[in-house]
Amino acid sequence: MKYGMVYFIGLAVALAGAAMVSACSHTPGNPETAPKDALSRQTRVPGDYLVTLAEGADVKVIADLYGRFGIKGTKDLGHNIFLVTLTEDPGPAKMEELRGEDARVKAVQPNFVYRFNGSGNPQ
Amino acid sequence: MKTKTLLCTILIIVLTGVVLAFSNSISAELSTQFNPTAAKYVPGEVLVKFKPHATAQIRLATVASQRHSVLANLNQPGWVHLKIGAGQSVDQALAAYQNDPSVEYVQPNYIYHLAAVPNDTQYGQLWAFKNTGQTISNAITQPPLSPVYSMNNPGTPGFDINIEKAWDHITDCSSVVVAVVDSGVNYNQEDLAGNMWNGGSTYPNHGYNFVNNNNDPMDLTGHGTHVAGIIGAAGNNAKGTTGVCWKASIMAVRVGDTSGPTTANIIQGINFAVTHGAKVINMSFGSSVFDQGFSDAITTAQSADVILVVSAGNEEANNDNVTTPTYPCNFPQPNLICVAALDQNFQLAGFSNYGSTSVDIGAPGTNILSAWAGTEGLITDSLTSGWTFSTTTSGGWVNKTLSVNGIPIPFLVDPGTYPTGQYNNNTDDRAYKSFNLAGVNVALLQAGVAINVMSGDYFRIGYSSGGGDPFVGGIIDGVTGVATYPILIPVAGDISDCISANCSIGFQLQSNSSLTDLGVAITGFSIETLTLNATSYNTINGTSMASPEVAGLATMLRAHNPQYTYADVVNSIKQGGRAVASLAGKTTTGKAIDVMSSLAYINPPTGLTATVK
Repeated sequence: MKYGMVYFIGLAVALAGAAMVSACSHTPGNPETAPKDALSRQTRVPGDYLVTLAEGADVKVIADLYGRFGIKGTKDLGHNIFLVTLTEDPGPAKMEELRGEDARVKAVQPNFVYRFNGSGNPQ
Repeated sequence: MKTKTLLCTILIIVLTGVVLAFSNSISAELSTQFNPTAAKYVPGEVLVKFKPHATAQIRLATVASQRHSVLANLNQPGWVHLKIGAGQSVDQALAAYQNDPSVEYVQPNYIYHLAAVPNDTQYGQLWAFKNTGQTISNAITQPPLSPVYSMNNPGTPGFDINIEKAWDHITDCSSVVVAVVDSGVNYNQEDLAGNMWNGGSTYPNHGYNFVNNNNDPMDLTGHGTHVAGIIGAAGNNAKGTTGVCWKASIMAVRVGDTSGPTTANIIQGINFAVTHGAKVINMSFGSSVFDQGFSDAITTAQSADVILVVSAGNEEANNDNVTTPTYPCNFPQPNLICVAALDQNFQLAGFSNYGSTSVDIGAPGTNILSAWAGTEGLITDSLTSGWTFSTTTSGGWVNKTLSVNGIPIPFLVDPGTYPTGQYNNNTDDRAYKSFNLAGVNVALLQAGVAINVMSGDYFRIGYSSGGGDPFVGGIIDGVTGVATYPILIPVAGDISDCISANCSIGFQLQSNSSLTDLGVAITGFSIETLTLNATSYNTINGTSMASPEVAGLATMLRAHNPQYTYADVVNSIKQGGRAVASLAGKTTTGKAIDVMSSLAYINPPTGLTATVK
């Protein structure tokens, strides 16, 4: 089901190249709208973080620390780890910086995206 | 000094004796297990070897005295094939000849059988299990994200995992739960339905779905079903393929869909598997990013004596290289085995990752036939007709043929002057068309899209299962699955919410009153579909396919040796492997798996103590 993505990305990149060349000769393209950025595979889920609390820490520390970014949801994954979904994504560096300010949070990391390692013919 | 030396010698002999005695007891036990214990022989017959001095007359007289008759001479000095008298047992005949001074040896006429070969209809295509140099049908013509590599189809006879001999000893691994942490499993597939984990009334669908947080881990891609089939497709059922294990207990743990698994789902998946009794977990996916949460879950599994088998990755990369690591392969826990892929000539597959310190062993991973979730379809659209266009200004979307690398290709573009003009200010341009998706279970939209819109302007993709303009009603972002740039199209492009006979798919370019840009061009429009069924199979490539062969072996080893720890299993797999030239310096062992050798491998006794008085 996912094998056509190679074609999808390939075409998009080719087109992006053509469009960007054209853009340079006419109107400055908005860097934020570079197709390559939009179509490249994400290595993490935007706004999702795994927060590991220190032993005995109350879950409300998550809201205390990261509530400023708008908490859309919190899910207990067990072993003191919580999946936290934020409305506004401050980025892993900022999340880690804030973690360092509160010992009740043991660790924070992105919710990474993996890829399956199988591939075949388009059916 | 002499006294001391002698004492040491005695001690060594005593200790050696203890160890040998221990080893012998293990060997005897294993020997019993491996013997065809139901001593199968032909009733009423024995084979006798006469001593050299026994003349022909003596032999005939001896046979006659027992009221036996000669069935045949065996063209081997002294040996004859005898029919024993009515009412006599083979045991009685053996006893009689053992006491005869003219007889050197007597034995039953044993019945031998060929190595177990299942009757599954497509068994001949499973080169990984029996490489006869056969040509694999439907071989992969499109390599994964890598340059073209040698297919080696057909390959070399004998380059397989040496499993048929092992099947003489064990085919039923169902005493050990093996978890497929993947895209789910089509638990209704004809070769898997009978080999799924019994999750009781709490998990009636044989596992859990962490993507949708429910107890239905149905596979909507095929990947997990393929993996499950390699481990434990029902063997000798006259259908499809067979797995490493003919009987199995497969736990389906769905952690990803077309867009891949996430850390959160993987952690939950591993913990679920461990908590519910899985002793082997297969994970055929990877990423280049170190992931502490994932690593911790593997350590948790280790403490529960669970072994994890993972794929090395398909990037042709050296996982040892600090710039190209692959996880979970590179995690250091000892309960983890990382597997590279071999082709039909036992060459490292062109796409396979490797690593002399990170990848443990190789297994077949090209042109692997196994179960699949259903039938795949492809709906294409040339973008030349049938589209409805609207605009609030002028121009808007049009069909247009553009030249890409000198090749004319049809596009939908906005504006019509793309890529030399600019779209209008304050416009709302839409293009949409309806497609019949009735009856399918999964629909995946794919298109090549080049986008040049200014900040504050939007390109959107929308769909509506009710047909018509998918952007009508103002419910756009999120509600109808519309993506807005720069978030744009999800990589997976899953539009399964739109499955109906009248699924309308559309594109929108909406601008404000400020600057404009070149606009949007769309081509390569298609919808991939999957319709679940119970009879599909597929041939695919990947280290994803090599990993479950090892997971199947681990399951078999644990079923055959219930006392084995994860360390025993890992040791048996590595020590029992077969040296392969293409893996030398590419894996920690330089070996491919060898099922029979691993099954026969005797782990050294541990925890042995001896008291010397």
